[in-house]
Amino acid sequence: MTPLRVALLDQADGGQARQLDAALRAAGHEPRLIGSRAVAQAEALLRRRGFTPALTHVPFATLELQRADVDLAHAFTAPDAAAALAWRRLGGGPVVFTCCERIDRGSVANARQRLATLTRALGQPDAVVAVDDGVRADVERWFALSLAVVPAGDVHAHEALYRKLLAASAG
Amino acid sequence: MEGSIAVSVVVASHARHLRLRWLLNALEEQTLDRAEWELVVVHTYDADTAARVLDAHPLAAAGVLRHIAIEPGTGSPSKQRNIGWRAARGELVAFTDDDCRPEPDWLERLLAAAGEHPRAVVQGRTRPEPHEREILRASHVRTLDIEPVNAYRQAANILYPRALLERLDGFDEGAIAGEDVGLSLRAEAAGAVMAAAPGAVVNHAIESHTLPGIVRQNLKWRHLAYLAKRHPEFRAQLPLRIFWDEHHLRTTAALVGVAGARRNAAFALLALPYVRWSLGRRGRGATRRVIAAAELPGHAVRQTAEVIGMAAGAIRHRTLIL
Repeated sequence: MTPLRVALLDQADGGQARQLDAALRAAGHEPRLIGSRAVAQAEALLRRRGFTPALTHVPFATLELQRADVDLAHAFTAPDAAAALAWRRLGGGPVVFTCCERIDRGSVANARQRLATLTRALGQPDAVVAVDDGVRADVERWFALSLAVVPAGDVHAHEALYRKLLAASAG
Repeated sequence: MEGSIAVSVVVASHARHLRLRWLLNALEEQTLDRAEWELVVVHTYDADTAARVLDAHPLAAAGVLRHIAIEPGTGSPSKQRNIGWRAARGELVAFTDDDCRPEPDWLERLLAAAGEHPRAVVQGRTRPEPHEREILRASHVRTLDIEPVNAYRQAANILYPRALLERLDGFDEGAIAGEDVGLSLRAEAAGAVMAAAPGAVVNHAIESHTLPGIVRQNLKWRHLAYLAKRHPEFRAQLPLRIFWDEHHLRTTAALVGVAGARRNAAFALLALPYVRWSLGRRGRGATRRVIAAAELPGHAVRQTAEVIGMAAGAIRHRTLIL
């Protein structure tokens, strides 16, 4: 089996991307962590104007994906998914989004671009999964979407998912 | 009607299935005993969306929620609400919108107010969604902020006795906008009293739009000319009996001022109320005024489009309203 070349994006650095990175490496694959380059001043300005956090790194992450020699992008936050989807539109490969955040009525649409970013992240990637049962239940309640649960450390489940998506995109 | 209940909640929904889902979640938390109320949703969604959003919701499993699908493209708020209340079992019918989130005690308080004012139309308080307050920073937002009883009696939060709806034959399906105020005017003409229930609170979504998006959306207000034509008594509520609201009055004066200033500079003074209001709409302080000034051109385009739209509606319905 050829090693998988996967970009892992986790601007929030919740640890899931690093966990999967280590697991994929141990399994002989070639993951690549895409770091964030948020522009602090612009980010602060956007926050003052009511925008959802972590938007300014998106173009940089997209650029980095363009330069990276990867077959698939896997995002762990909604803004990261926006970067991955932009990369796909520019000719990149399949996109996976793992929803890691708990969602409730207070947080689902509490800033400008928040709902739009989350809706695109849950609706447009080639595969969307939940990191645990709590997140799966939240997404079902607030988005009426049923997601499979794939924990970040489950390398076999991710490997199977990636290969299926890559085969589908090649076919 | 089998098994009459105290109150039916009727919701018309179109192209907002996510917000509808959130409304269902809010209604799931109502403190009023579920044996006393039901929910009827009349929508235009395809079978898959309806199954996912409505059938799979706990309120459907509990037997509280029923939904009626109509052909996409054939609906309107008035038509869908009429289908909804006619299918409802309640002696009272509460209307709310699919972009609203009622507080948990909403129905209980609405029902209590209806008990204090039998046979009255009861309007609750509608306020911008507190969870979405940050979105108010956007240039072009849409929400509702209503202290009951107001002049427009929006269907976002209002309760009618079913008998009154039957007597009035429900909403006027010829009205594309303002159907809710039209119904309340006919109710008043029929002798109904309007009662306020300020404690019955519904939170209305705050949505930001692009300039073309908000202009497109606000074009529907041109149909308010139909309301003015059908209900001339409503003009008593309008500034100078001609303008839909104070914004339209200021905008029209500013447009006349700008046009007239080419011949006589004094005409420009007519634009002052508009500029003054626009610069102060974000509040006091230099930063807020700079933001308001930056937003002024976009707002001017939006308000001008609204007034032109109203003028087009006025021509179509042959009645003077701007």
